[in-house]
Amino acid sequence: MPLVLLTLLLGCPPEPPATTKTPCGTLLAIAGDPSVPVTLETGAVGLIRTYPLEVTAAVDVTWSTSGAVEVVDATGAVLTTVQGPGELFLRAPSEGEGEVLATWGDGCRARLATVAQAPAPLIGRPRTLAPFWHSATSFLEGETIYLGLDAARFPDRVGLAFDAWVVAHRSLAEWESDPVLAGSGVQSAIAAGALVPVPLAVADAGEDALAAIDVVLDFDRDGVLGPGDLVQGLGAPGASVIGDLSAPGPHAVETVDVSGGWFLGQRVWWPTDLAALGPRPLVVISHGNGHEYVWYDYLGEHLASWGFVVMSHQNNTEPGIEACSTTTLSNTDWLLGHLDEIGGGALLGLVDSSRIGWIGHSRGGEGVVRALDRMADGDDVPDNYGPDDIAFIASIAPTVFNDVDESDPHDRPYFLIAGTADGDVTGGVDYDITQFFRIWERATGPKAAAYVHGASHNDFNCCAMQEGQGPELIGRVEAHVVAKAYLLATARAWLDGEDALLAHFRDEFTGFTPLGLAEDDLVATSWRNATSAGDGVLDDFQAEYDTDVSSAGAAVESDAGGLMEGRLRDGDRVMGWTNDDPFNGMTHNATPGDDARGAVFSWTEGSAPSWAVAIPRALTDARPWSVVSFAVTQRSRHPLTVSWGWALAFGVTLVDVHGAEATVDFADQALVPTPYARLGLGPGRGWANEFVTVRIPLVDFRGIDLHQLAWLRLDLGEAHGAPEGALGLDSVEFAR
Amino acid sequence: MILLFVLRVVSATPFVLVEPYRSDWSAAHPVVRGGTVLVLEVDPALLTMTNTPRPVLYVGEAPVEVLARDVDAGLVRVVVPGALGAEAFIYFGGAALPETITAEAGARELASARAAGLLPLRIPVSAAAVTVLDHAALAGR
Repeated sequence: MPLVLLTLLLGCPPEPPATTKTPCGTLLAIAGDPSVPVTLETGAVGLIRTYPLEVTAAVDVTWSTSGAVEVVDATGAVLTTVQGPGELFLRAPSEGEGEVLATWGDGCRARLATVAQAPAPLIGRPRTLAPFWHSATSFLEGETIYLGLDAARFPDRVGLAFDAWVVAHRSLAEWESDPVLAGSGVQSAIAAGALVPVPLAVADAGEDALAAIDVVLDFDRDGVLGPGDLVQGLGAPGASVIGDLSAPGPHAVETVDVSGGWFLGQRVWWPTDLAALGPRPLVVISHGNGHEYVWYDYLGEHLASWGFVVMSHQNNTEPGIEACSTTTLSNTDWLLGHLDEIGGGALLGLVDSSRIGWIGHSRGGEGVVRALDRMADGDDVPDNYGPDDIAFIASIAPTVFNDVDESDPHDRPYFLIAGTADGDVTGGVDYDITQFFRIWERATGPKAAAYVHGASHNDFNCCAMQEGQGPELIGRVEAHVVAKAYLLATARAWLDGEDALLAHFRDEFTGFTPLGLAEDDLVATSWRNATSAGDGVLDDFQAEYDTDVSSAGAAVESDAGGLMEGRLRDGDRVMGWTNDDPFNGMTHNATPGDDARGAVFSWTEGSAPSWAVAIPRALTDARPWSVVSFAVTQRSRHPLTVSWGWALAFGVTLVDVHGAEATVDFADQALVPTPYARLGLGPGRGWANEFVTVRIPLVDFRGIDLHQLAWLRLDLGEAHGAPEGALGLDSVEFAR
Repeated sequence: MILLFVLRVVSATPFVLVEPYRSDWSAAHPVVRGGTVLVLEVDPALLTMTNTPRPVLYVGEAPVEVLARDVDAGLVRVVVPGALGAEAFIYFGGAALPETITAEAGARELASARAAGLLPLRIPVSAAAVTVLDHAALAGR
């Protein structure tokens, strides 16, 4: 039982206050403040996430409950009667208020109020602006993991001491069989008032550059996870620590060049200890036009050092996208059909043909998408694999020759990486074929993007001529660091199920840039869940084109300047600013087959406008989701973008039905990058729009009723970080 | 239209394939059973490769397959399927992907080129047809 116990005195009718002694005597003892409801967390399994009650009197007690609470014994069985003394437990089958009524003796009764809530992150990192805290489940190696307990969330536990432990993740079965907390805990207590971050541990990712951890707050301080303790990490890991994904992996690498004939030349890499690893996924690299398949050693060696079998092949790019998709299909098929011949049979039985990742560069980047589309449409049926075996696709600065019905990533996980200084597939507004974000928009599966400031087209191979255009070119060496980190993250996530590595896209809120990148590298990242994920769309601008109605049919109120909805398409194909082209610099929508839409608005110095969307009735209870998410960009060469001239921030406010508000400011993160200062296509500086996805944990909006939300509001102006600015906005939603 | 001329035909070598192949270099995807390998001298600037469309090299109404290029020397080696006369219209047409060029589009390109003043080039066929095993062997010659 807990070391810290307050005696709860409950007794005869009329029902007394919880702390009043009555002739019925003392019945129960609990750990927390008996004057406030006991806080429970849902998801109890066995006795974990239950709350202990000690029956102190030797009496027969009858229990009844109402609402979201149950009384159980040490086996987890629901109780209706018990003979004291002994230990009982409360658990919450669902969220909400509850009440426990105990009766005993000659009309003695006691009542205990409970509040059950879903578990929320216990850890995160401090911030310098409201709410001064960021709940997090992903950390970079070497970063300090902070504990952040909200007294408002656990009012009954304020002042209680506990030991906080950061331990390697255990499965639920492992916790049940071994609840002992190894190592050393950090003693702390929940402070009343504002959340006070407490440093817990320095994050360690280990040799695999990814460690799963759990966090336990051991309230009885017995060194064991048990009833009454709080835990982050039952079932799924509580949090993850990510190491340097750009550094070589733990495996030595072998490589060989092979050829099966016309356009079947291949370079293959694999971990030397492949036989010990068992069947491993295959990553295929399809080069671009004017490139060679032997120009991707940096990537092949890197991925193989992390345990993948990698093949780069001759790609028939010059005739066009159909031809290069053919060589992607045929080379993948040839390799899988000739494993006995490659490297003396070193790969035989050791390539998992059901987990294939295709990475293509330039025309090859579109070719891999087209190849999937051909298989998905039944137009091409390889002998040794099928469309369901393509686990993810990555395109490096892809062309977009085809329309959406031909170059379609379908529902496959999709990653786009490109450079803002690309001098070939420029990403510019003047040429549809180079607007690679159009492919990204087509993908309906989970998708990520990384738009790398200062990277050129040919930085992503070893040897093609340097064509970069723009200031502060990062060069080939640094571009390889960036590519290795992001491509390894996506390959491990989508081929090996290590989803935590996608934090580099999903958790960018606090600048979650991969380790290994230079300090001044700037990468605009985007993330979108699969359309089938069931995110709660507040306004994606795909319907209801009036600016005072959201796509969900709810009200929109805004006093921002120049509010307009439209296609994410530059209207005059010139990058120079004109007032007639409010979507200047947008490159997500070019042809009638593209459908991406968004909104634009601006504000001037001295004003403090906002953009607010009413939360539709079906979404007012935000419990199914974990973050507020939206995509936002500064508008290229807009006079107010130029005038501000810096990365930009604003405030995000949620308002509940009672009128209570909570604001998260992110001026300390300044997330929305200033457009890359590239010249060309008209007067001024600034290239294509760089949307970033901002995802803010819902639990960080404290002090409001997240179950009954009314409005989401973006607060603009100097008080929130930027006295002036011009923004593009898309995909405002509650997301997982 | 600004014509991008081929400067001259350096050599022409007829061939016959033992194993025909299907060409990816036009929308018609002709089966190549034999033809002529031409070495052409062109403006080197036309041989640089990008991933956006480049001017397509035609012989008559059809795009030709590029087997190899020497950018510094301004030389390009191409395959012309089928019979080739003593003269041919050889030129760079508009920027496109060769695999998308239909017969109608090719005819339009030739008509435009001729309207702009294109003249045929003499084909200096210098030897009897050689027998080549397959596509890969052709590219390797």
